[in-house]
Amino acid sequence: MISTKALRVTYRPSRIEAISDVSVEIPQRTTTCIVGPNAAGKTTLLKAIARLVEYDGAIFIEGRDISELGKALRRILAYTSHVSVNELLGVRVIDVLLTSRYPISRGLADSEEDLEGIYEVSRSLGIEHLLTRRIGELSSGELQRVVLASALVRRPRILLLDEPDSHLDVALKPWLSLYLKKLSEGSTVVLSTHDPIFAFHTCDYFIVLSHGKLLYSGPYEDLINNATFLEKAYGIGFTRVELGDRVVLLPLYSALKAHVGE
Amino acid sequence: MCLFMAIFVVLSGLPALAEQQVIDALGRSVTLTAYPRRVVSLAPSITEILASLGVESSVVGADSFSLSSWYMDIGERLKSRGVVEVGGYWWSTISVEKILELNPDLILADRGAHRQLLEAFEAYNLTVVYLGSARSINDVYNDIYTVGLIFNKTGEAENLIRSIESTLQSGKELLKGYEGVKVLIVIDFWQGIWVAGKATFIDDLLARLGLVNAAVTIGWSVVGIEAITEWNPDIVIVACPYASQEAVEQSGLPQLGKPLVLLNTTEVDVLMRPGPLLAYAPQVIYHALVQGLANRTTTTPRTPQQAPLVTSAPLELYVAAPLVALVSGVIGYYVGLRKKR
Amino acid sequence: MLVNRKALFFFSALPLIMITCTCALTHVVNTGQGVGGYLAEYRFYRTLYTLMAGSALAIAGCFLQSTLRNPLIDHYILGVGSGALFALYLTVILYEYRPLIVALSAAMGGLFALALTVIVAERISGSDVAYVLSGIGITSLFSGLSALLSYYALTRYPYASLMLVGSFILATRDKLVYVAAAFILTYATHFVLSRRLNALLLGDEYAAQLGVNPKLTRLVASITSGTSASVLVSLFGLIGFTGIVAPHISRLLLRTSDNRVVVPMAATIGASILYVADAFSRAVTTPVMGEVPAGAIVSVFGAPFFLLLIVKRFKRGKL
Repeated sequence: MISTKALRVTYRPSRIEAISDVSVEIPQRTTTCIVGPNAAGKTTLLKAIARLVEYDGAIFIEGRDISELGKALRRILAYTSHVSVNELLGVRVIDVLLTSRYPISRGLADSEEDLEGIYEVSRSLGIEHLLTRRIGELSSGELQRVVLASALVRRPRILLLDEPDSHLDVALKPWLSLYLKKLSEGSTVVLSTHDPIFAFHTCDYFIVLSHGKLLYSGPYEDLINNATFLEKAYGIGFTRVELGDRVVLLPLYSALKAHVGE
Repeated sequence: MCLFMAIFVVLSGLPALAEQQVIDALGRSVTLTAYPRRVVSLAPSITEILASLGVESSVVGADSFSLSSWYMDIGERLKSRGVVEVGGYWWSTISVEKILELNPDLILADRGAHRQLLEAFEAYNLTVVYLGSARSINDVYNDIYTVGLIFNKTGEAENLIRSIESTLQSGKELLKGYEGVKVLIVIDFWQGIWVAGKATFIDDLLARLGLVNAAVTIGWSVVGIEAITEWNPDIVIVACPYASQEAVEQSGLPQLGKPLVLLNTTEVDVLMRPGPLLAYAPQVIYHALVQGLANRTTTTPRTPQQAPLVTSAPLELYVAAPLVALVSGVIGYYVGLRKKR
Repeated sequence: MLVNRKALFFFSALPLIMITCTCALTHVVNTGQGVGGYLAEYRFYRTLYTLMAGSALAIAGCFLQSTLRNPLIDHYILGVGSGALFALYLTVILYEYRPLIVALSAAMGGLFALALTVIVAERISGSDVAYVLSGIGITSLFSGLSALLSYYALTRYPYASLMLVGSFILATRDKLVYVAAAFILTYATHFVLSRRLNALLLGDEYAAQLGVNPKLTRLVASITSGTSASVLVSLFGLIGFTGIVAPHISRLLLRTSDNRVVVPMAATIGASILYVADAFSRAVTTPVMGEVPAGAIVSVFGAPFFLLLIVKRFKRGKL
């Protein structure tokens, strides 16, 4: 499980506090969603846990301070964001996947283990046929899956995914949602997203941020029953909707008229 | 009235103003409407030609090498007359401004070194005649004659030409004992060894003296020690006064195993200036040969050089690297790439 | 592609195999022809130098292309060459021509120019285009300064001019230490850097989350490339395009961008390119008009290739 204490991240040049005084406890083997408007600090929170930015305060993973973990941290967690590569450099999917095994592979050469790991993950994500293709030739949906695969190939205990559902079409999002839920049986999944439908279907634990401040952290049930947290974060009305067997909170478009034009 | 007539008769006795057309080394036809009184010379060899033809006094501006020319004490005399230095020798160091200030009626320039200045000269309506980057001794004679035409000193020009020619003839006699010797003239060491190849006046000079030019390439060219070994000269003469000991050694020439003679500044000037100094060239070469091939006598004719061992590397050597790379790549393909499932 | 132990070993040894074989072949031919003494030595060293320099420059090119995620660069574009040349002129003017001093100062000059390029590029935006623009600016700066100095440098040391185009004509034994050092530096560093450069290819952030320190890797790659390229420039002059062309051919042939195999393959290709260019000069042009510097020949063939790359890039709609 991941916990932060009084976490603060300041971006140097602009002195803006991306996150101020955030203390959360993310439970193990669940899917956790970080939601909030743009520039709320979602990505920053993920990056901080992944120790990719400098922060004040403390972050603990399984009781250990991450600043003392060193290289071992990379074996435990994986962080993904968007990937862009110069086409003329000809990077192929299999290159990406092999490189992603860097923290856990031994020696310079690739072993059978590496190969098996890659094939397993590719199969489960349905990208086997894309292995020899160049990154630049993939559609955005395919690329997203490759990005996810690159995190999974080293079997991390913790997955930090920044907007993994972006660029996915209407049919792929449910698929991803199910996939992540299955993953969370063995690992801890923390993701950020803009899509409330996706968030409420996928996650059991929620962190709501706004302007770098923590508005809510807790289980799905409590958030569903109290729309004020989301309304305060986004500044827009939310309403309860039942989609199949799941209850979600969706933004009220009509509520916006009150702010715009009148 | 009679006075006017008398003056008219006297005046008509003076040499007539000559309008003449001269074809210069660039093939341009230059019209001269008077004998030049104010001349700028951009090369020491040209200045030396002017001095030999006795028209040195018309020089008002000259390049830096002309002003230090020791031949006939030209440099001293020009300096004491206050002749202006306009830069030089290479075109990029010539000051067109200074030339303009001198208001010359004629500029004499070298085709090889000053071609780039033509546009500038023409833009300012300066009359310029280019003398050729001599490819043969005849070219040098042509230059001398052209200068003679310009200054109405064709008689002196012909004399000069004849005297140079006769020293070349007697030079050939002098070098009889060295007939057929393969000589290599090295003129510089910039990123390689610069030699006087075929179709240079040095080449022609050597031929007229009964010697053989070891260099096979055309024109002034840069080669490495490999090619020189292949040419197998009998003696290497270095005509580069500022070459450092290190430069000579780095080039590999000392390891050739052939006599290496380094000329001093004066000797280099004699050899490298296509003008009246050529008359002394046979002596310079003779002294170099004597110095280098000490045990030669003038009576024994030289036996023709045996064909040297083949030293040029076969073509196969040159395709060795890519061949090896290709073979390795193919093996690599079968070893590594095919492993992909 | 999967790089298993056998493939890795083979590819890594490839440049060494090629250099050894070609030099051995040279030796065999020399012996066969009965050539000995200084000529055999000259041929041997010249072969060795072209191969080693070609390898080192190709490896340096790979490093820079990976770390800066830009397939259009090599040491020349980043100003290393003209910086080294400027330092060379300055040394010749203020001091004198001595191989050790000159090699050191050329290396420092090249690195200084590289540092300036990197700093300016990061100031602009840090993108690949920024690096090329910055590099062009810095190259122009030092080229201009070199031109100013060249007049004075020429009077002290006639070799100074024509250093602009790389030539292996002066393949003397005393250069061996430096050439070998440049080659060994790049070749050895490849084993440490290649995996890290693979990670860096996908972005600084991506690399960081894999545990690869992007700034440190970039620094090491730049210093290694810059130093070896500077040394080679100070010895032989500017040899462009090998650093761009060889990595690309390597990636095309191997159909991967995995530096673990691309780098040694590029080294082999770079060595071949430079060797053939030099050989072309020795075999074809020398008998007729004297040597044409290998650097010029490589540029002649490299320039169209470079243009092709740019056209391809435009066609894909991105700059």
